[in-house]
Amino acid sequence: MNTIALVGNPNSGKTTLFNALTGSNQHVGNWPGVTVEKKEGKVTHNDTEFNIVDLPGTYSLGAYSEDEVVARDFILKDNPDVVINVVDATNLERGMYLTTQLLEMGTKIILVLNMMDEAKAKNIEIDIKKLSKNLGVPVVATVASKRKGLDMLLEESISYINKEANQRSIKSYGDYMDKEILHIENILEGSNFDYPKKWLAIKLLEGDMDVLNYIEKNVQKDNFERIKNITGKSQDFELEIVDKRYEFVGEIISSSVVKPEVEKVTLTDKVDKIITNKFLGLPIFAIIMFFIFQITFVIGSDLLGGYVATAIEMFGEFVLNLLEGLNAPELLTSFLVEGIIGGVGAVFEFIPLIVVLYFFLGILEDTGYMARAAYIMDGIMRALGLHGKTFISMIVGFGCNVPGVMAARTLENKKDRMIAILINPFMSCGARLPIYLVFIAAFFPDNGGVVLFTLYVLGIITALILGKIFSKTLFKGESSYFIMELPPYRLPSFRVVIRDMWDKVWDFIHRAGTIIFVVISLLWVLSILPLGVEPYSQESILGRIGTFLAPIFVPAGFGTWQATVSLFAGIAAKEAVVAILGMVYAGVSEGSQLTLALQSVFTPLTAISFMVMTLFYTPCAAVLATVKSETGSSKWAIFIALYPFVLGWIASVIIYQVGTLLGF
Amino acid sequence: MLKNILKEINTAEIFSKPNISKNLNISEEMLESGVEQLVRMGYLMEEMGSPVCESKCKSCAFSRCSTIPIRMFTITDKGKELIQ
Repeated sequence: MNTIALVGNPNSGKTTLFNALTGSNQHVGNWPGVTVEKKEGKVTHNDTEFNIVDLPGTYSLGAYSEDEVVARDFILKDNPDVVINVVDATNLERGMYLTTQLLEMGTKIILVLNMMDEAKAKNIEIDIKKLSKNLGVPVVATVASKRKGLDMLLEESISYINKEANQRSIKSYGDYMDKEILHIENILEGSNFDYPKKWLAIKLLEGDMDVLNYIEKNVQKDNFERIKNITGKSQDFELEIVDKRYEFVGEIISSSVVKPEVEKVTLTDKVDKIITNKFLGLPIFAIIMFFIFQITFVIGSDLLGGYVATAIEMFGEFVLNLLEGLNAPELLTSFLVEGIIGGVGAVFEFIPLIVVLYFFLGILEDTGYMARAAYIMDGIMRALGLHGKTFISMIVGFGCNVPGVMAARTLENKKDRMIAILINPFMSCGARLPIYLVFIAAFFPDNGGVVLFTLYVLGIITALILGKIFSKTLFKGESSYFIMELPPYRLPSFRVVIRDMWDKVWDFIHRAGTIIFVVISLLWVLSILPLGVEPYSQESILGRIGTFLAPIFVPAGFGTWQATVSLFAGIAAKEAVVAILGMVYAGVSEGSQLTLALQSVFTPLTAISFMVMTLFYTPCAAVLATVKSETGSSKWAIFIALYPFVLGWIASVIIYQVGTLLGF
Repeated sequence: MLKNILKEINTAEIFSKPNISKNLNISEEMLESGVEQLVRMGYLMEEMGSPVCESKCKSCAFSRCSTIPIRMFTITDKGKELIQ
């Protein structure tokens, strides 16, 4: 039975062709000694039976990966009757590098131009006859997914097996290299090998360790030393050989393929000239973000916000009436209406704003703008001695600091990674958003966008300054620099944006319904005990704990037991801050709305001081656990629990004291 | 060609296939293939801007993580040696 090997780049359609040829007549196993999958199948055409072997997808036939070694060993050792080299017709330059290596091996190949329909759709004209003549191999066009060209391929295989091959390969690798190849070939003369001598010589010059080991075992020691002397002359032999292969591919393609002229300066390039401009990039980024925060308030608060608040209030009243009608115990009514609905409901009221904000941020991501933002910030990060990739983990942190901290994994250098982890909690995560929103609603309803924008920017600037300080003190050393490829701009996919937005909003709801629920339940118990005291009063256990700790925050202007308890509860989960405020202030003001209650106990100045504290202070427990697991050290988790708290306290004290001195 | 690609990457601010291929007078496909070779041979390191996980397990933070698909390249010490 004749054997055909299928070889090609990943995504060239090789496996589709294999499936189309063999149908269900195939079996899967493993190549001996490795974990690479081996697929074989049978096909009969015009009474000729073929065993078809689908080799692993590879871009090259060196010794850099198991796939490469498996593919080349099969071709050279098992000596298939024909090797079908599958290339993507829309990307011949990429696929034909492998072809040059097959030609170097001297194996009998048929070149298959797969996905020809797509090539035609892209107006790529391939002169198949000329290509075949230039390479000296049969060339067959196929569309494997539509089973087109398969019969012709099998017929060509049958006739080619019995023909003498007249394949062409690279004629010269340059005078110097040709001399060295010949030199090695001469040394190898007289010994018997499983492989062609010229191929061995080329591979030895490429520094292929597998071939070098093979030669060591199969030639005399002095000859091996002579070969090593030749191959050791330069580190760049491999590069020169690879360059010659590309030169060969370029020559073949330029003479047989015509591609439509591509506009070299694309729309993306034109837009990027402005968007990523050294001077304009940052202001444009700031304006876009400011605009998003503004529009978030207009749509999320003014248009939609009231409906949810009204719905929660109505639901609260409904449950209250229901429980009173059922003569339910007072404690149960208090727990459900003031604890759960007052607490969790206070968080839920901000869902419309969160929906709108994440919708617009999703649009920025999906259009490709966020990648530009990272690029714009890269320049600033470099100027501060930080790795540009740190900003990507910072952007991720805007959703949640847990993945933000985890995103630092992509930083190779320990210094860069540690700095990225330590500054990530200053990114305002989605859970902090309700805290800002409730205070903005209470004190700055007309300037919500400005206040929110300022808080986000303050977080970024603080993170950058701290990053600079850490890089000069705790983690000295050079940052490695990189170059990024910006994806082309595209129209955002509504489906993707909505899905991503929903993921984040659902996570928010889920956390509110689980962690916050548990925290609220525990603290509600503390707020009504010991029995007999006024619930939610200073005499309750919760009130006493808060009163004990509240003096810490007196210099910052919010030294009430309620604010203190809410901040400490926020270490469990940041959403708990608003939930606790909602619970402890339920019924404090004339209305049950939290914003009204806050207006009676905070001032605009103390509100700013409190918001800055929540921006900076200790990240939530999930972040602390993530820092511990990512750094492998409790020390850093403790550090990240303490230093932001101290920083937040200092900042809020300065704001309150300076603000008071200035008469605010 | 590969050395020139590496030099272009070393001096460019953004990895722009249209710009680099224009400067080197090669097609973008050839450039892409050349970059793959440089990565394969250890002259260049390619990575993605955000950690990528296709599993998206519900309980994992990455399931709600925004990933910014930016391809990034760093010239390795071997690469720096080559272009010096």
